[in-house]
Amino acid sequence: MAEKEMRVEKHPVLGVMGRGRRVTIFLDGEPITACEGEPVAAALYAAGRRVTRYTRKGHEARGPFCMIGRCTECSMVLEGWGMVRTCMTPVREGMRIWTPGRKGG
Amino acid sequence: MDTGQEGRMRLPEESCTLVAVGAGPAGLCAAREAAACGVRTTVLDENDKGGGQLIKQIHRFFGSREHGAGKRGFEIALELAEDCANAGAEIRLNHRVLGFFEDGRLLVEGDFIYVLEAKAVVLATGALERSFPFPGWTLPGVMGAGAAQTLVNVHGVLPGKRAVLVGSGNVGLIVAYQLLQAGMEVVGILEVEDRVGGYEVHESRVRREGVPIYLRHRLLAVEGLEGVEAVLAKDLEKGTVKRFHADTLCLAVGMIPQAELASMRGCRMVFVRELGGFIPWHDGDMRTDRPGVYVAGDAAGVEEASIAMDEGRLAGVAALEDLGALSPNEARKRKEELKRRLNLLRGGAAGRPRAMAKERLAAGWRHR
Amino acid sequence: MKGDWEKVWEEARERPVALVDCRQEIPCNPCEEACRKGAIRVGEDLCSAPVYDPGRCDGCGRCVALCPGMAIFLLDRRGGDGQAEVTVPWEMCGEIVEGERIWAVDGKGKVLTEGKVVKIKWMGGRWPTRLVTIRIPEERALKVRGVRFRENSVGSSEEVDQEYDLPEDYPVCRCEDVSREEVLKFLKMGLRSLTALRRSSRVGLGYCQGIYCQEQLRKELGMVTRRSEEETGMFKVRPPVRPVKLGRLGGVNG
Repeated sequence: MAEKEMRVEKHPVLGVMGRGRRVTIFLDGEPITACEGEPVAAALYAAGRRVTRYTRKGHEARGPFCMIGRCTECSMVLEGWGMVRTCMTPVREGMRIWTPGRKGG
Repeated sequence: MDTGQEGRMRLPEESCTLVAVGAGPAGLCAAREAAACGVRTTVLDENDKGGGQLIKQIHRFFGSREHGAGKRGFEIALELAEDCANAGAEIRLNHRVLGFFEDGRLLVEGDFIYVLEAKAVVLATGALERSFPFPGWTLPGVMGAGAAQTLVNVHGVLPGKRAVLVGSGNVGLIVAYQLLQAGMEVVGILEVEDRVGGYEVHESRVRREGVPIYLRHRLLAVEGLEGVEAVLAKDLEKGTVKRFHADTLCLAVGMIPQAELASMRGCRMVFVRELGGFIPWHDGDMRTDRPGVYVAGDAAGVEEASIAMDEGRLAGVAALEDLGALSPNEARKRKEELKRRLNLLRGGAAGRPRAMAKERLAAGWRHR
Repeated sequence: MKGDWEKVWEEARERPVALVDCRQEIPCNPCEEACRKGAIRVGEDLCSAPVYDPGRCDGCGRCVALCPGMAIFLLDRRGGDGQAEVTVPWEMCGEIVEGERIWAVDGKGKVLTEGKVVKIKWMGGRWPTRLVTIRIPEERALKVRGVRFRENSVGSSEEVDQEYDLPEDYPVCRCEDVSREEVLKFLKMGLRSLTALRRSSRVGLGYCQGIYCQEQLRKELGMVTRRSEEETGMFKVRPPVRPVKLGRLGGVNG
């Protein structure tokens, strides 16, 4: 899913949606275009990435579930900080995010 | 962490007169009442915007003039936050409340962690989307309907291309409509009952767009490898199983009040089915059984935003009365007016069971 | 209501007139305030359905734009040529332009006829609604509740084999990845409380503090113990109720 298709360009009620400056963040080392200030989870969705972690026990993929910071399914490792809830963490230029439990990463 | 060890933690301490936890409609309205009366008021919220879940509501709201009816949810959110700040309340965004202890102190994380002491605390912590486990429910792409709503309406990002919704209550109907507005396809709405749960007007809006509502269909499972690829549902009339090709499944099966802080504080919790589950017991003025602790909005029972606003105002007035900032006479007058409005908002067939549950609570609650 | 619509039908010969299709008890009254002519009354009881007098309506369309249920429309039969103009509120994605052909649908989404878009007007505050006016044969006009120019994904499901095998096990607790079978195993061993289940299986011990799984656990426990939800109770809540970076608690701030 290309990013252009996943971002709402023009909304019938909200019009052209205001977005932050285009920046690059890194998911498991791979560059991804994101908009500054939007939650990391939204940026990942826009890039067509919806796996935020793999479980320890069964190595099953998990993704954002509540988008309001309650379920913690979207928790990822923010380099230089630790685990964060990506639905509550705004994008900053150059931030590096790692998928917990990802194999061969 | 243990409350007995607080002394040794040497955290910065602060005090204020009234704290509202949650900057949604209930918290903002409670804080506005207090601040407008000259009481030092702080609102804490973990989000970077005030307004609670109203910020993702792009439809026009029911209610009356006092609730911003006819305006869109996010418009109401902006107005409430502005009113609250203009009245003199300090709204601290990006502040998470981590604990609420039996000695009445709040543990808060902002830029740093601190202890906040207040004479009155209004818990307006809202609700959580209900979900239930089924095969595949942990796959990426399965999410709360409100989660999808946050993605499209707040962040302008689609959760996928084709969605199936579960539940035909007002939330399911409204979110289905809003996913269409953002450009997604809605494959269908599954409803286990034999009739639509939400209001006719909301049902009609999605039907006009050609969205099928599958009555008497039970969600069975979601299939996919690293994300939703198909949704399986059982037709309870025919006994057959249908497979819907979709990449997103939104659960709109109700809300659960979020009052963990009340429970941690030692407030008596009661189970009220009509109000969504466990809530802090509260009287008709939104007082819990702990002195200086009030509750309002969805945390006091899941209802509507307009009700949350008036409950917040009621909690604010009750707190002012208990603080001695309002004369008993003035407080009585304001409370009567707010209760009159709340009764009207709970007047319809959908509201009556909730009105009765609230009355039972106010009259004292017993195990049945 | 029927009488009302006959009156709307008659009045619409002279000027555009609102058609109010709101019958349910909904706590809502913006239509009353939207109408400057006092043609729509809800009154003190917020939940009563609006009482509408088509004779007083001047067809301004404000109520059409402001009705949260999108349940008010305009009917205009001034042409007198067997055609009518119907105005509906419209907030869908995609572009709609004057002159194009579009389907007129009823309240169930059934296509009634095809019509031509003759007017588009924005109305209703800072984030307005489009009022789309279409021209259609007048005998269909009273039934129109919306317009649509695309087919939604009706019929996108397929029947599958009735003997479809459902996976029997799946996680109950998302955070700690505790499966339903594990929970049932502990129930079989005789555990009878949320706390005991939590201790043995780690169910509800994750960051979310069991807010998602405890309803299900109460249900499973209730089936075994025949206790009510209230009796089964809740997970004990411990601070911090939100995830906190390790080391931030315990005095080392910053």
